[in-house]
Amino acid sequence: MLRAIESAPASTLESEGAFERMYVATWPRLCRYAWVLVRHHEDAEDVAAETMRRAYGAWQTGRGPAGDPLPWLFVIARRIVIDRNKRRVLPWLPLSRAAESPAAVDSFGRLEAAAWFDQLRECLSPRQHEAILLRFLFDLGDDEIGRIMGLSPAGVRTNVSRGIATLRRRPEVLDR
Amino acid sequence: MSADSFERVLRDRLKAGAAELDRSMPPAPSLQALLVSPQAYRPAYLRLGFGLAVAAALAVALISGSLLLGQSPAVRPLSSITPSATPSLATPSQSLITASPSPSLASPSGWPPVTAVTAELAPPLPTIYES
Repeated sequence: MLRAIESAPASTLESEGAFERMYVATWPRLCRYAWVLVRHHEDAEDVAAETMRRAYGAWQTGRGPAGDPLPWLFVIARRIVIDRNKRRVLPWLPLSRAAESPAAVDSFGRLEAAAWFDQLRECLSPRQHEAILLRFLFDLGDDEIGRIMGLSPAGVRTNVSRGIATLRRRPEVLDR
Repeated sequence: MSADSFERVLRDRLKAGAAELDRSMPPAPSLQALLVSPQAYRPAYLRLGFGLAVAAALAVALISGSLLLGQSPAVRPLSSITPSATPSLATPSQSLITASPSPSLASPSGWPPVTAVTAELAPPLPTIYES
Protein backbone atom coordinates (compact mmCIF):
# COMPACT_ATOMS: atom_id res chain seq x y z
CA MET A 1 0.00 0.00 0.00
CA LEU A 2 2.84 2.35 0.85
CA ARG A 3 4.53 1.52 -2.43
CA ALA A 4 1.31 2.42 -4.15
CA ILE A 5 1.33 5.74 -2.34
CA GLU A 6 4.93 6.43 -3.33
CA SER A 7 4.35 5.66 -6.99
CA ALA A 8 1.01 7.43 -7.22
CA PRO A 9 0.42 10.41 -9.50
CA ALA A 10 0.29 13.95 -8.13
CA SER A 11 -3.49 14.07 -7.84
CA THR A 12 -3.46 10.90 -5.78
CA LEU A 13 -0.72 12.27 -3.56
CA GLU A 14 -2.79 15.37 -3.05
CA SER A 15 -5.67 13.16 -2.07
CA GLU A 16 -3.38 11.29 0.31
CA GLY A 17 -2.37 14.55 1.90
CA ALA A 18 -5.98 15.58 2.29
CA PHE A 19 -6.80 12.27 3.91
CA GLU A 20 -3.88 12.59 6.30
CA ARG A 21 -4.96 16.07 7.31
CA MET A 22 -8.47 14.79 7.88
CA TYR A 23 -7.06 11.89 9.88
CA VAL A 24 -5.03 14.11 12.18
CA ALA A 25 -7.95 16.49 12.69
CA THR A 26 -10.56 13.85 13.46
CA TRP A 27 -8.61 11.14 15.30
CA PRO A 28 -9.20 12.40 18.88
CA ARG A 29 -12.92 12.86 18.37
CA LEU A 30 -13.18 9.53 16.61
CA CYS A 31 -11.44 7.81 19.52
CA ARG A 32 -13.76 9.59 21.93
CA TYR A 33 -16.86 8.48 20.03
CA ALA A 34 -15.54 4.92 19.83
CA TRP A 35 -15.01 5.00 23.59
CA VAL A 36 -18.61 6.12 24.04
CA LEU A 37 -19.70 3.11 22.03
CA VAL A 38 -17.49 0.40 23.51
CA ARG A 39 -16.52 1.83 26.94
CA HIS A 40 -13.05 0.41 26.76
CA HIS A 41 -9.92 2.33 25.88
CA GLU A 42 -8.03 -0.24 23.86
CA ASP A 43 -11.12 -1.45 22.06
CA ALA A 44 -11.94 2.14 21.24
CA GLU A 45 -8.54 2.62 19.67
CA ASP A 46 -8.99 -0.58 17.67
CA VAL A 47 -12.35 0.60 16.42
CA ALA A 48 -10.94 4.01 15.51
CA ALA A 49 -8.03 2.44 13.65
CA GLU A 50 -10.28 0.11 11.72
CA THR A 51 -12.57 3.00 10.92
CA MET A 52 -9.65 4.91 9.46
CA ARG A 53 -8.59 1.94 7.37
CA ARG A 54 -12.06 1.54 5.93
CA ALA A 55 -12.32 5.25 5.39
CA TYR A 56 -8.99 5.20 3.58
CA GLY A 57 -10.22 2.44 1.29
CA ALA A 58 -13.39 4.35 0.54
CA TRP A 59 -11.44 7.57 0.06
CA GLN A 60 -9.14 5.87 -2.44
CA THR A 61 -12.05 4.67 -4.54
CA GLY A 62 -13.72 8.07 -4.59
CA ARG A 63 -16.36 7.25 -1.98
CA GLY A 64 -15.27 9.88 0.48
CA PRO A 65 -17.51 12.19 2.51
CA ALA A 66 -19.58 14.79 0.75
CA GLY A 67 -19.23 17.37 3.53
CA ASP A 68 -17.93 17.21 7.06
CA PRO A 69 -15.95 13.96 7.40
CA LEU A 70 -16.71 13.49 11.10
CA PRO A 71 -20.29 12.16 10.74
CA TRP A 72 -19.09 9.94 7.90
CA LEU A 73 -16.39 8.47 10.14
CA PHE A 74 -18.86 8.06 12.98
CA VAL A 75 -21.18 6.08 10.72
CA ILE A 76 -18.32 3.74 9.81
CA ALA A 77 -17.28 3.36 13.45
CA ARG A 78 -20.83 2.63 14.52
CA ARG A 79 -21.17 -0.09 11.89
CA ILE A 80 -17.90 -1.66 12.98
CA VAL A 81 -19.06 -1.80 16.59
CA ILE A 82 -22.41 -3.30 15.59
CA ASP A 83 -20.66 -5.91 13.44
CA ARG A 84 -18.26 -6.82 16.22
CA ASN A 85 -21.04 -7.14 18.75
CA LYS A 86 -22.87 -9.49 16.43
CA ARG A 87 -19.80 -11.63 15.85
CA ARG A 88 -18.56 -11.83 19.41
CA VAL A 89 -19.90 -14.44 21.79
CA LEU A 90 -19.30 -12.04 24.64
CA PRO A 91 -20.19 -8.51 23.64
CA TRP A 92 -18.30 -5.53 24.92
CA LEU A 93 -19.32 -4.82 28.44
CA PRO A 94 -19.83 -1.37 29.85
CA LEU A 95 -17.28 -0.12 32.30
CA SER A 96 -19.54 -0.77 35.26
CA ARG A 97 -19.43 -4.50 34.60
CA ALA A 98 -15.99 -5.01 33.12
CA ALA A 99 -13.24 -3.00 34.69
CA GLU A 100 -10.44 -1.79 32.51
CA SER A 101 -6.93 -2.96 33.21
CA PRO A 102 -5.05 -1.00 35.87
CA ALA A 103 -2.61 0.24 33.25
CA ALA A 104 -5.44 1.71 31.25
CA VAL A 105 -7.06 3.43 34.21
CA ASP A 106 -4.14 5.53 35.26
CA SER A 107 -5.61 8.50 37.06
CA PHE A 108 -8.30 9.11 39.59
CA GLY A 109 -9.75 11.93 37.51
CA ARG A 110 -10.12 9.71 34.52
CA LEU A 111 -11.71 6.97 36.58
CA GLU A 112 -14.13 9.46 38.03
CA ALA A 113 -14.98 10.79 34.59
CA ALA A 114 -15.61 7.27 33.31
CA ALA A 115 -17.86 6.59 36.30
CA TRP A 116 -19.77 9.78 35.60
CA PHE A 117 -20.31 8.76 31.98
CA ASP A 118 -21.55 5.42 33.23
CA GLN A 119 -24.01 7.09 35.55
CA LEU A 120 -25.24 9.23 32.69
CA ARG A 121 -25.68 6.15 30.58
CA GLU A 122 -27.69 4.40 33.28
CA CYS A 123 -30.10 7.32 33.51
CA LEU A 124 -30.94 7.33 29.82
CA SER A 125 -32.01 4.91 27.17
CA PRO A 126 -29.24 3.94 24.73
CA ARG A 127 -30.69 6.13 21.98
CA GLN A 128 -31.18 9.11 24.25
CA HIS A 129 -27.68 8.70 25.58
CA GLU A 130 -26.11 8.56 22.14
CA ALA A 131 -28.19 11.43 20.79
CA ILE A 132 -27.31 13.64 23.75
CA LEU A 133 -23.62 12.90 23.45
CA LEU A 134 -23.60 13.54 19.72
CA ARG A 135 -25.44 16.79 20.24
CA PHE A 136 -23.69 18.25 23.28
CA LEU A 137 -20.29 16.60 23.23
CA PHE A 138 -19.62 16.51 19.50
CA ASP A 139 -21.77 19.54 18.59
CA LEU A 140 -23.47 17.80 15.68
CA GLY A 141 -26.76 18.88 14.18
CA ASP A 142 -29.99 16.93 13.95
CA ASP A 143 -29.38 15.87 10.35
CA GLU A 144 -25.90 14.59 11.07
CA ILE A 145 -26.99 12.77 14.22
CA GLY A 146 -29.89 11.27 12.32
CA ARG A 147 -27.55 10.03 9.60
CA ILE A 148 -25.27 8.43 12.19
CA MET A 149 -28.02 6.82 14.25
CA GLY A 150 -30.37 5.99 11.41
CA LEU A 151 -33.08 8.31 12.70
CA SER A 152 -35.03 11.17 11.21
CA PRO A 153 -34.19 14.66 12.46
CA ALA A 154 -37.50 14.69 14.31
CA GLY A 155 -36.57 11.40 15.95
CA VAL A 156 -33.27 12.88 17.02
CA ARG A 157 -34.99 15.90 18.56
CA THR A 158 -37.41 13.63 20.40
CA ASN A 159 -34.61 11.54 21.86
CA VAL A 160 -32.61 14.58 22.88
CA SER A 161 -35.55 16.34 24.51
CA ARG A 162 -36.66 13.21 26.36
CA GLY A 163 -33.13 12.60 27.54
CA ILE A 164 -32.84 16.15 28.81
CA ALA A 165 -36.18 15.85 30.56
CA THR A 166 -34.93 12.72 32.28
CA LEU A 167 -31.74 14.45 33.36
CA ARG A 168 -33.65 17.45 34.67
CA ARG A 169 -35.51 15.13 36.97
CA ARG A 170 -32.16 13.89 38.28
CA PRO A 171 -30.03 17.00 38.75
CA GLU A 172 -27.66 15.13 41.07
CA VAL A 173 -26.14 13.49 37.99
CA LEU A 174 -24.80 16.82 36.81
CA ASP A 175 -23.71 17.88 40.27
CA ARG A 176 -21.25 15.03 40.67
CA MET B 1 -32.73 26.42 35.91
CA SER B 2 -33.86 27.41 32.43
CA ALA B 3 -33.65 25.01 29.52
CA ASP B 4 -30.77 26.91 27.92
CA SER B 5 -28.71 27.08 31.06
CA PHE B 6 -29.36 23.40 31.79
CA GLU B 7 -28.14 22.48 28.32
CA ARG B 8 -25.11 24.69 28.79
CA VAL B 9 -24.30 23.02 32.10
CA LEU B 10 -24.75 19.61 30.51
CA ARG B 11 -22.51 20.54 27.60
CA ASP B 12 -19.79 21.88 29.90
CA ARG B 13 -19.98 18.82 32.11
CA LEU B 14 -19.74 16.47 29.14
CA LYS B 15 -16.79 18.29 27.64
CA ALA B 16 -14.97 18.41 30.96
CA GLY B 17 -15.45 14.67 31.43
CA ALA B 18 -14.34 13.92 27.90
CA ALA B 19 -11.28 16.14 28.28
CA GLU B 20 -10.36 14.20 31.41
CA LEU B 21 -10.68 10.97 29.49
CA ASP B 22 -8.68 12.33 26.55
CA ARG B 23 -5.72 13.30 28.72
CA SER B 24 -4.52 9.71 28.88
CA MET B 25 -5.33 9.00 25.26
CA PRO B 26 -2.16 8.26 23.30
CA PRO B 27 -1.42 10.56 20.40
CA ALA B 28 -2.60 9.54 16.99
CA PRO B 29 -0.25 7.03 15.36
CA SER B 30 1.16 7.95 12.00
CA LEU B 31 -1.22 7.21 9.19
CA GLN B 32 1.23 4.94 7.39
CA ALA B 33 1.81 2.89 10.53
CA LEU B 34 -1.93 2.64 11.01
CA LEU B 35 -2.54 1.46 7.46
CA VAL B 36 0.17 -1.21 7.47
CA SER B 37 -0.36 -2.42 11.03
CA PRO B 38 -0.88 -6.16 11.53
CA GLN B 39 -4.50 -5.52 12.33
CA ALA B 40 -5.08 -4.33 8.81
CA TYR B 41 -7.35 -6.37 6.68
CA ARG B 42 -5.82 -9.62 5.65
CA PRO B 43 -6.80 -10.90 2.25
CA ALA B 44 -9.39 -13.64 2.39
CA TYR B 45 -7.16 -16.07 0.56
CA LEU B 46 -4.52 -15.68 3.26
CA ARG B 47 -6.97 -16.68 5.94
CA LEU B 48 -8.20 -19.56 3.78
CA GLY B 49 -4.64 -20.76 3.23
CA PHE B 50 -3.90 -20.62 6.92
CA GLY B 51 -7.03 -22.62 7.69
CA LEU B 52 -6.16 -25.23 5.10
CA ALA B 53 -2.62 -25.58 6.46
CA VAL B 54 -3.94 -26.11 9.99
CA ALA B 55 -6.45 -28.67 8.75
CA ALA B 56 -3.73 -30.57 6.84
CA ALA B 57 -1.46 -30.61 9.89
CA LEU B 58 -4.29 -31.98 12.03
CA ALA B 59 -5.06 -34.68 9.46
CA VAL B 60 -1.40 -35.76 9.33
CA ALA B 61 -1.25 -35.90 13.12
CA LEU B 62 -4.40 -38.01 13.28
CA ILE B 63 -3.20 -40.45 10.62
CA SER B 64 0.24 -40.88 12.18
CA GLY B 65 -1.35 -41.34 15.58
CA SER B 66 -3.65 -44.07 14.33
CA LEU B 67 -0.70 -45.85 12.64
CA LEU B 68 1.26 -45.80 15.88
CA LEU B 69 -1.69 -47.28 17.71
CA GLY B 70 -1.87 -50.09 15.16
CA GLN B 71 1.73 -51.11 15.89
CA SER B 72 1.28 -51.44 19.65
CA PRO B 73 0.65 -54.90 21.17
CA ALA B 74 -2.90 -56.01 21.17
CA VAL B 75 -4.79 -55.26 24.29
CA ARG B 76 -6.14 -58.42 25.88
CA PRO B 77 -9.49 -58.31 27.54
CA LEU B 78 -9.45 -58.70 31.28
CA SER B 79 -11.56 -61.84 31.19
CA SER B 80 -8.86 -63.71 29.25
CA ILE B 81 -6.21 -63.15 31.92
CA THR B 82 -5.93 -66.06 34.39
CA PRO B 83 -4.43 -65.52 37.79
CA SER B 84 -0.94 -66.91 38.27
CA ALA B 85 -0.64 -70.15 40.23
CA THR B 86 2.51 -68.95 41.97
CA PRO B 87 1.80 -67.47 45.35
CA SER B 88 3.08 -64.06 46.14
CA LEU B 89 6.60 -63.60 47.43
CA ALA B 90 5.41 -62.67 50.84
CA THR B 91 4.68 -65.97 52.48
CA PRO B 92 1.81 -66.18 54.84
CA SER B 93 4.21 -66.81 57.74
CA GLN B 94 5.78 -63.41 57.19
CA SER B 95 2.49 -61.72 57.23
CA LEU B 96 1.77 -59.61 60.21
CA ILE B 97 -1.90 -60.02 59.76
CA THR B 98 -3.09 -62.27 62.47
CA ALA B 99 -6.72 -61.60 62.81
CA SER B 100 -9.49 -61.95 60.31
CA PRO B 101 -7.47 -63.20 57.39
CA SER B 102 -8.81 -62.33 54.02
CA PRO B 103 -10.41 -65.18 52.15
CA SER B 104 -7.58 -65.20 49.63
CA LEU B 105 -5.09 -66.28 52.28
CA ALA B 106 -7.06 -69.32 53.28
CA SER B 107 -7.94 -70.45 49.83
CA PRO B 108 -4.76 -72.08 48.39
CA SER B 109 -4.58 -75.72 49.23
CA GLY B 110 -1.45 -77.09 50.84
CA TRP B 111 -0.74 -74.01 52.87
CA PRO B 112 -0.72 -74.18 56.61
CA PRO B 113 -3.89 -72.95 58.17
CA VAL B 114 -3.89 -69.41 59.31
CA THR B 115 -4.42 -70.36 62.91
CA ALA B 116 -1.23 -72.42 62.90
CA VAL B 117 0.73 -69.52 61.45
CA THR B 118 -0.50 -67.13 64.08
CA ALA B 119 0.38 -69.64 66.77
CA GLU B 120 3.97 -69.57 65.58
CA LEU B 121 4.16 -65.80 65.69
CA ALA B 122 2.27 -65.00 68.84
CA PRO B 123 2.70 -66.57 72.28
CA PRO B 124 -0.20 -68.64 73.47
CA LEU B 125 -2.85 -66.70 75.21
CA PRO B 126 -3.26 -67.34 78.89
CA THR B 127 -6.18 -69.45 79.74
CA ILE B 128 -8.87 -67.60 81.48
CA TYR B 129 -10.97 -69.58 83.84
CA GLU B 130 -14.36 -68.50 84.78
CA SER B 131 -14.99 -68.49 88.44
